Amino acid sequence: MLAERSGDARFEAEVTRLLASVDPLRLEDVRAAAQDALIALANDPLFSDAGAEGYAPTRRQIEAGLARLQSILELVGA
Amino acid sequence: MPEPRRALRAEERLAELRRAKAKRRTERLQRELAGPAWHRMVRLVPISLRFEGALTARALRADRAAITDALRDDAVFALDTAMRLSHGYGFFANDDVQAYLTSPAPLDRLASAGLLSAEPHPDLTLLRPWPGPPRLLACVASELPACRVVGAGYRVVTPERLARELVGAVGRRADLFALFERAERG
Repeated sequence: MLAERSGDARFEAEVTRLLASVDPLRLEDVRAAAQDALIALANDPLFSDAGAEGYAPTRRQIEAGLARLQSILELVGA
Repeated sequence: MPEPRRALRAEERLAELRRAKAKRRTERLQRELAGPAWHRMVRLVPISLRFEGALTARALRADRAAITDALRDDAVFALDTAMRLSHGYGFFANDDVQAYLTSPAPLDRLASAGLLSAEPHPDLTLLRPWPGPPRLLACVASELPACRVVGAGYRVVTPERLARELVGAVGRRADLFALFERAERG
């Protein structure tokens, strides 16, 4: 969603506001879970078997979303 | 037609919650044990070789050094091979070679020279827990990734990319990440 709505400043501001209210330990959980999700995708046969090349744009989108989440987390000081 | 999912009963929900809490406790313990390296690893956006282009595998018919030498002008070496060429030791115990190419032509050339199998190897699993022949895992991409030149003129991925590839391949393995960081610090 973060990648999909990358141009939506209000949406990102709301995500930032919500994340800023979460305690730092849980923010690290958020960061780790998001990274785990991307790693898990590489092991998911749906995304990695022969014929799954069509999912490449989805994968790029998810990478962009993770990068955006990382920068929001830096912004809130996690 | 798949049956609709039944809603969980209260005790099943409670059991699920307990499992999730136990998993989080373990993760936090691992985080604590890994120390500052964990925080550096978790800030990376992982790269999976599999998604960087069309991944293909060929069984090696010669030793790893002969393969890397034969691909020197064509490839940018990745992951374990990049680490070995840069620092003399790798991450993994297998003899696989990982590389980026812009065309499958070098694979056929090496196959004709008897260095690789002529047929693609069916197993594209990066780290196999089962036995199998050493392979060249080649990612054929439209362009080669950013690289640096090491040793006797081998092109390998940049340290930043290597860190991301490592996390993409094995997750947040603090021991391997520490090995990488120590090697890069020299």
